[in-house]
Amino acid sequence: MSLDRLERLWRGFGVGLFLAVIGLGGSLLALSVFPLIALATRDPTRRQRRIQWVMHLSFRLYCAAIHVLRVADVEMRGAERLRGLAGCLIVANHPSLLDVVMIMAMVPRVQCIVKGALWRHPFFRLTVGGAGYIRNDLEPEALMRACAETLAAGNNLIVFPEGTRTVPGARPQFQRGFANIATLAGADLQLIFVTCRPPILHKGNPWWRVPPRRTVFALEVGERLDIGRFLRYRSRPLAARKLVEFLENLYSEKLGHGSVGSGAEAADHFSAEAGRSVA
Amino acid sequence: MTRDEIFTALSGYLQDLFEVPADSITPEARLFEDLDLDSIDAVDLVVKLQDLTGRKIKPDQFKTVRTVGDVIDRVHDLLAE
Repeated sequence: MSLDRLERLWRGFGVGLFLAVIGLGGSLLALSVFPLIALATRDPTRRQRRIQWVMHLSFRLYCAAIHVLRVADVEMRGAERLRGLAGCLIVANHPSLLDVVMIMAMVPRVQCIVKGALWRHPFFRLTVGGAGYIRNDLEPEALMRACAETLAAGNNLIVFPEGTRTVPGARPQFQRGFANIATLAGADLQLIFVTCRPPILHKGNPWWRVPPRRTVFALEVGERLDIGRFLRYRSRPLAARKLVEFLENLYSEKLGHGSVGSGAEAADHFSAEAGRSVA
Repeated sequence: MTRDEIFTALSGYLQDLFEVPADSITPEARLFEDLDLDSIDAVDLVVKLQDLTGRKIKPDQFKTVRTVGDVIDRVHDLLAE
């Protein structure tokens, strides 16, 4: 067996291992560390901070392990600018399952909007509730209020404007929800550009199908966008629409969609190649 | 206010708040699907309609509204109360 093939097998195994670690590690923390924090910290705000901090450190360790074990390369550019970030809406494109993990590894004080069903889950109830995450099954207005409150309290909030993982090579299509949050809360936006090349853990691809070359996850911290620029439009809804348009164009330009050979063709080429080598 | 007057005012709001093109605003046009409003936009619109009518509008009065025509009916009923 050639070294290349062995290396690829290792990466396939590694991806499975790291997915399992999220499930197992998450459950372990949910059953040991988080209940202890909850017991030791009565004050909900301090409890939130502590749980967020443990999550942040765990995810940092996780990303470092992926990199060191050569399952994938993880490159973070400009992460130092996120250390003191507070009260910002963190906006990113969403090429793979691990984006959220990597972003949480870069930002200490961060919250996200998660599935409401987790509040009924015996293990994760304490994690999502304790960390102060926002549930996605709230009524739209209540959801906006919850987001605005957490931002005003100085937490950062991650949103993926595409709403779902990006199809590799497709032009990003942004939903308006994130722009409604930003314009209602008056929160600045911290932009992050994520690439994952060659793609793994993307939509419609089984986790074990790893590409011939090792994947590079690159997270580039972009500008902090002043929401005041958009609030100058004559109405809030209009500001939200302009914001969506602006960011769609920016992400599309930055991630190089529409140019020959980069987008859909490359993805097609990759899937065809992956299909052959697995068969 | 007549229905026509309400339509004119509503059309003005839709263009002003959301930049909806004037020619797509018809009584049959659906707010969410055809005019690309979302549920948070609806809150902004209701605020404007409160200013127009001078009445307080409860959110559930607008729960079942689907089209531009529905909004006109609702505002018309409200003014007749």
